[in-house]
Amino acid sequence: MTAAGPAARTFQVEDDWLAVNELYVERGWTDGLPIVPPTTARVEEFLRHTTRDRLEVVAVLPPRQGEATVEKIAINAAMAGCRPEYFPVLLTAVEAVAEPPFNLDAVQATTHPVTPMLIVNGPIVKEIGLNAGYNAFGQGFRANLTIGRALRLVLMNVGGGLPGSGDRSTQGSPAKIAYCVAENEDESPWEPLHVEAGFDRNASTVTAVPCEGPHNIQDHFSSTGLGILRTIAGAMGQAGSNNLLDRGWPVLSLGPEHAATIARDGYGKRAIKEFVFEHARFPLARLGDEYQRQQITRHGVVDDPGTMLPIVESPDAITIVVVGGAGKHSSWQPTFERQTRLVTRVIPPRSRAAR
Amino acid sequence: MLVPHPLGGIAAADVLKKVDPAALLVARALAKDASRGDETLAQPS
Repeated sequence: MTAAGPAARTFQVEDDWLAVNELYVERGWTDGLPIVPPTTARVEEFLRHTTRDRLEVVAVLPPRQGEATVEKIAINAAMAGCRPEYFPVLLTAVEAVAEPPFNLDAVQATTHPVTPMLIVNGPIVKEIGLNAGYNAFGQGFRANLTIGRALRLVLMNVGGGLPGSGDRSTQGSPAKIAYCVAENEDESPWEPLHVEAGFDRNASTVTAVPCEGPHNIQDHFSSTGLGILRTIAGAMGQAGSNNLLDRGWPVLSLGPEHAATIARDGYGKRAIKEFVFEHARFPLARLGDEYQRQQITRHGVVDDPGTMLPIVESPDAITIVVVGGAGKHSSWQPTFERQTRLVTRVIPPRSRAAR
Repeated sequence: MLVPHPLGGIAAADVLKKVDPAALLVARALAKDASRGDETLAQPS
């Protein structure tokens, strides 16, 4: 999209950090946390990290159909506390969530606690200090937290995803505050996500996944890959997830220790996906009567007490990444539904150099 | 200090023509909400 949007209006505020924050909260321009005042000078620093025109409409974001210009994205990045060099990641993330397969309209407005999880791959991870190790989904790293937060501010301020109006999530999720992680490529025994998707290993990419927060999978006892995979399949084949409801595209985020054991025993990504497809299942007979009928009528499953319900339609629907530090933990991210898919986009190399 | 407004404008009519009519209704309903007490500084709709 190359249309131009309007320039941001500017206005004077008190030269006082607390007063500015009270004003932004009062106007509903924040996620509930304090913001960094996006002075015009600060916003200019972000714009130096892209070659794109400040008025270019990067995407039109539902449900408000707001125009996410380069400038508006920079303003929200500044508010989130990003460093200017993070800006190319955020620009690419906004493009990714606006791709039709991501189905942002549904993701923004649904009652489900789905939110974009950003997985960053490639050299830019180390260049800007994204955390892929201990506590990768948690606190402690500015790049992870502020890039994730900036995307949420864009979705709220430009896209209109405000709790109770444009965003009708029943309970929400802490993952909706900030959800950005890097794949631990150094400790992955397999090719990283972006290479598996067909991109060059030296490319930097952002993958946006419409999913829930991480569901932990603990296995301290299995010493074989098969044992760990049985635990993983048991965790993923659960009642109540939208993947059991409607299948979809779940993510398996393997901790490096689990990944190493599984790989040592000869499993590649393809074999893991096939195992999960076959074994991450839930018994039809353990669901309530109405839910059983939903599965029979919607998915055509056999109405039999022995029927085991899958969470995906094929092994290829499962995405595998390696994330985190040492320890016997992995996690999985249930996704929203079949109509919302992950999107990977390349971060343009040219835009990484400040003009 | 001088700060720019963080909300985007609403997409132009030719862009919105491509949008599902139901989504358009939602967008119009949100347009008022989007100004959020900032009538003098921004008219996003």
